[in-house]
Amino acid sequence: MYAPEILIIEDDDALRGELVELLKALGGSVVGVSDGEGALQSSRSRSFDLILCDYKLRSENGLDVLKALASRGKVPVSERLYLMTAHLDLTQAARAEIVASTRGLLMKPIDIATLRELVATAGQTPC
Amino acid sequence: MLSVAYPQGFRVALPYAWPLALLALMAATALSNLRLVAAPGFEISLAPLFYLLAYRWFGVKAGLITAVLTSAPTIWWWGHPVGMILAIGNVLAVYRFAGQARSLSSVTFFYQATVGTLLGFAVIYAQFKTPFDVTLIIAMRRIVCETMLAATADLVALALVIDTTRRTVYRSRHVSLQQSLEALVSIAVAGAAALFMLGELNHVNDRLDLHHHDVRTAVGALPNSAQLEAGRMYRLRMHGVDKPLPLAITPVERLEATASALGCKRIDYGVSEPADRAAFSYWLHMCYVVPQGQGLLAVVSPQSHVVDLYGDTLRGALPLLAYLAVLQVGLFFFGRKLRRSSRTLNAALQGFGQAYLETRLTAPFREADELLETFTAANNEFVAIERQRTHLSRTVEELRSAIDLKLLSDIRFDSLKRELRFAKIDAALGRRSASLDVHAADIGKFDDLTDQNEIMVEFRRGHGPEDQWYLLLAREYDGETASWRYGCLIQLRTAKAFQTQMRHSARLMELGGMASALSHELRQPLFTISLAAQNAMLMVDREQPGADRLCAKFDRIIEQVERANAIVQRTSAYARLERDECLPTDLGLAVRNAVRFMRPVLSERSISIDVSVPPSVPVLPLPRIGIEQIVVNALQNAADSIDTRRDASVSGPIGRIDVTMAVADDAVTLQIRDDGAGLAPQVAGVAFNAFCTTKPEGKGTGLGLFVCRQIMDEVGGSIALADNSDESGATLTLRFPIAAKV
Repeated sequence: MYAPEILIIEDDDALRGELVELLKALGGSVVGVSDGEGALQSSRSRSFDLILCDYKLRSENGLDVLKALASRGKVPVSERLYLMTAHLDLTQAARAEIVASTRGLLMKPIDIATLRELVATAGQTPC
Repeated sequence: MLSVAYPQGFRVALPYAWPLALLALMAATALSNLRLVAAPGFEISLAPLFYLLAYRWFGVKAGLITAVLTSAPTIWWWGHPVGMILAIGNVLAVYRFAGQARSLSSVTFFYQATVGTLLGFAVIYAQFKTPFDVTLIIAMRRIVCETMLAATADLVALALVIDTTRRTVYRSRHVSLQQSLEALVSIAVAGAAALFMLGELNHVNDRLDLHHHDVRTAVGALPNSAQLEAGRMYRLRMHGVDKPLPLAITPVERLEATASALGCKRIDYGVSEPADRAAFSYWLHMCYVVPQGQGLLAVVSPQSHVVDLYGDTLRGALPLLAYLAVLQVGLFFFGRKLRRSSRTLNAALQGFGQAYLETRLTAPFREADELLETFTAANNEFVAIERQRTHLSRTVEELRSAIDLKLLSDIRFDSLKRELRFAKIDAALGRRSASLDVHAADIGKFDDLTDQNEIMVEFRRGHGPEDQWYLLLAREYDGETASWRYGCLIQLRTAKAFQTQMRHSARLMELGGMASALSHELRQPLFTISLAAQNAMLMVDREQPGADRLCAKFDRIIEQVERANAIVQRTSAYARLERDECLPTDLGLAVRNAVRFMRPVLSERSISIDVSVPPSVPVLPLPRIGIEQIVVNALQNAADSIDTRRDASVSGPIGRIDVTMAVADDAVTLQIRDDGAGLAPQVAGVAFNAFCTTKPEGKGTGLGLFVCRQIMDEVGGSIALADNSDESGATLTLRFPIAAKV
């Protein structure tokens, strides 16, 4: 069975740890990093089928990371990257930009069924 | 218009008042002495007219004296003082019951119908043994005549007024409605009754003459007249009459004795007409005499027939009297209602405009009621207007005392003495020279103002309360005298309402920020907990005993996380973003408002603030309250930072905030710079995070800058906080893009 390559970019260590562990248990080959720099380094050596990135990182935001990763891989990053956020109060403009330039916006806490679905479909639909 | 005012008026002065009054009294007594007999049994005494008028015009004493004098003749006429007693009683009755409202005629009617009738019966019936019907007729005659005379007195007194103090007679301009109505009704009905009785009684004589004739005929036609014996009593039965009349035959010389035996005191021959034929008693006590020839006379007593005749008259007049009684009772109640109406109206008019009438006043009469309705509406309208006026004048007063504006001329700033010199222009006191020393922290504001034609400076006095600010507006700079020609000085006060509103909106904003920050800060750990539980569940070895229970526990954790998440989601409905409406906002005004709000706080802490806003700032679509809140928050932080630096006992003058606004093509930049402690190294990167604060416990929520960033995100602008490069302190930079954000 194919293990999809998954990258998690999340600055909250505890959350990142748990998320990596769960996605691994769900059958993914997962790498977790805390910022855009780490993401860039990781993507040098491998190509990811699914990228889950926190929208508000400590000193940058998810869209900045998206721009940094844009040129990597066969499939455009925007087709593989989901932004995660706990902010319910994103402005209409920010929301519109996220929807336009990424695969989608996931509200934290993301339920297990959604994560299972993401892992299951990762790498199978190079849109 | 209803007006019965006579410009000149009918007014006659009365000279020699006392002799005239005496003369009038004598005339009244003389006229009352006339025994006016209108018909048999219908005697009229004019006395009531005089004594009632005397009462009305001159009071109760005059009324009583006149009553005694004018009723005196009745004692001679009737041989008893009942007439006089009733007259005195009548004056006392009207004195007690007929005030300004009730008429003499009504009171007199009730008085005569009760006291008059009872006394009349008691005396006449007991003393003279007159038949009941006749006594009743006398009583009726009394009621009718006295009421009619009282009504006449009423009308005369209503039309003519005698002013005893000024000794004049004049025509009354205002008459009492109730009095005139009662008098008119009384005179009409009592008059009609009197006329009826007069007519009936006038016929009594004719009918008795006729009866006399019938009796003679009947006696002459007696079949056995020759056999009648002298000295015996017979009964004369007449055709068509039930009651037989007593009849006696007597020789001429025994006529007196025989008549007396028949109960007669007088003899009526049917030819002569004695004066007393006009009285009841004559007819009640007389006998007819019919000559029988041979020196014999037939004597017949018609008393029963006379009583019958009077009884007919009585029965004819009774309904009229009853009608009069009903009318008088009706008038009595009508009068009460009328007085109630006028009392209510009077009370209402006296209380006009004093209070709001919740319920409408009511009166028994529709006319008065309508007036009261109009009155109530007018009253309430007036009260409402009056309240509004009071409120307005109070507001104007407050405004006047709040503004405290002084007009000045020849305004000059003396930088050596650090004072502002000027001449006060006062309407009452004229022109007076004066000066104000300027607070050390505000002197710099005047330095670069010279040569400017128009200036506007906010400053404090060198001495006096620190939070008392003045605004100087001056125009027309004169280079030669180095002064502005005229201007004004306004004592600034921070309006209470403005402060309350600012505090309220700040509170709401903080609450919104709290909700949105909480939602983020809680959702993150909730996610971690849920993931950890999930992972732990996956680690459980299903073969182990108790694994099911362990899994159930993890399920419960996941379930409770979902529950907590739902609560957070509901709370975040209060998050403030995209709630504040963006309206065309003058950034300069928003900044000045915020500064005005904070000024007292800053003054209290001896922090000077300098605001520099370009004359023209583009109007941008912004949430005005939000922007004011950012500036207030920034000033608050700057002040706290200054305090921190002061607490660290750094030497030198500290306590200055500069607010500068710059307009470029694409953006408006607002900088708030302080000379405080600057940024703490640990917050440099996270100053805008929620719940990030360096302030002591309980002082800051750590949401201020978080909310500021939210607002700036919202408007598509940016916010940055950095340490000053050249000196201690920090600068907050806000950037508002001019082009509308997509």
